[in-house]
Amino acid sequence: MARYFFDFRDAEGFARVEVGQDLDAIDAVRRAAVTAAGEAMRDATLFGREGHIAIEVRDGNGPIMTVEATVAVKSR
Amino acid sequence: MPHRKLIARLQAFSGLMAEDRARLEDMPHTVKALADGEYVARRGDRPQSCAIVVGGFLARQRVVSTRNQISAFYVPGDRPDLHTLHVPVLDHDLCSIGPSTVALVPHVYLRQTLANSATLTAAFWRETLIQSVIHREWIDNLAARQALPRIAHLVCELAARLGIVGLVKDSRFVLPFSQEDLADACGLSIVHVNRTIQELRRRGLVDWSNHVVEVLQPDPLEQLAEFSALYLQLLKTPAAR
Repeated sequence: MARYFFDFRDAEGFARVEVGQDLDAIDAVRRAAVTAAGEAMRDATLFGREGHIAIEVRDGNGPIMTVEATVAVKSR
Repeated sequence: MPHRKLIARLQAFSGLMAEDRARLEDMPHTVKALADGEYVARRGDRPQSCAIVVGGFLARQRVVSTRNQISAFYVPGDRPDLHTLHVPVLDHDLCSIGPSTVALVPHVYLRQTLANSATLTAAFWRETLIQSVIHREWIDNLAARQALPRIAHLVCELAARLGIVGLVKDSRFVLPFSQEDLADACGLSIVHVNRTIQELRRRGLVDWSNHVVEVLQPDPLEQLAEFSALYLQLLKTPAAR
């Protein structure tokens, strides 16, 4: 079991979280970050806005992984 | 008499007469203390008594797909399984969130009491209507709002419900919920809940630490949540207003 912190970055800037979450496997960390990225994107797109967000995961020693999500319209 | 919060609630909403108060005060009951995560009753059970929350919090929950979904919180004075008087089988688990205390009143006594008092029957009926109004608010909240107003709405609702039974002091109340409980109630991940609560604090709307919530700016918080306590007050009888 280790404590992971899921910091958040979007167009408005970077938010370092204070509260971590204890997880026992790196796959659980990946799943938590992916789910949270989807939820943040749902918040962003609920009113039809495009956007880009990133969840930057760290543990006590430093960065572990980044999960990014983008909704972008490309008109033809 | 451990269920004075229930009587306070019914008094606030229905304006009880002395003899109905006496009926409630004399209810035979068993007091049960529950540890965090302990169940009052499980899905599929056929309770022979109704629980009154005396202290602490209960959650109504079940697993949907693969995640635990909390569909209601119950605060002191609430009766989470009152409906088992008419719908005998529980379709959810009733679980203690943090330590709690309940009083269990036998169905037999409740049926007899209600048969003898039209006022209490109306008051109990009104209570179940309040619970269904709260459920509708939850559906709207879960379906239509972003995480920030969604969690804000839950905070506003709990503050209002706890306020009715005198459990808010100086805009502060105890909320023994874990991050996971909040995530389960809001249909969100723990990660997103953490970040959202941090945002509520950053905006100076609430202070939230060590299981104590303080509402710092009630009006902006209610505005963000589109919250109006009216839905909790609507069912007061003219005598109680």
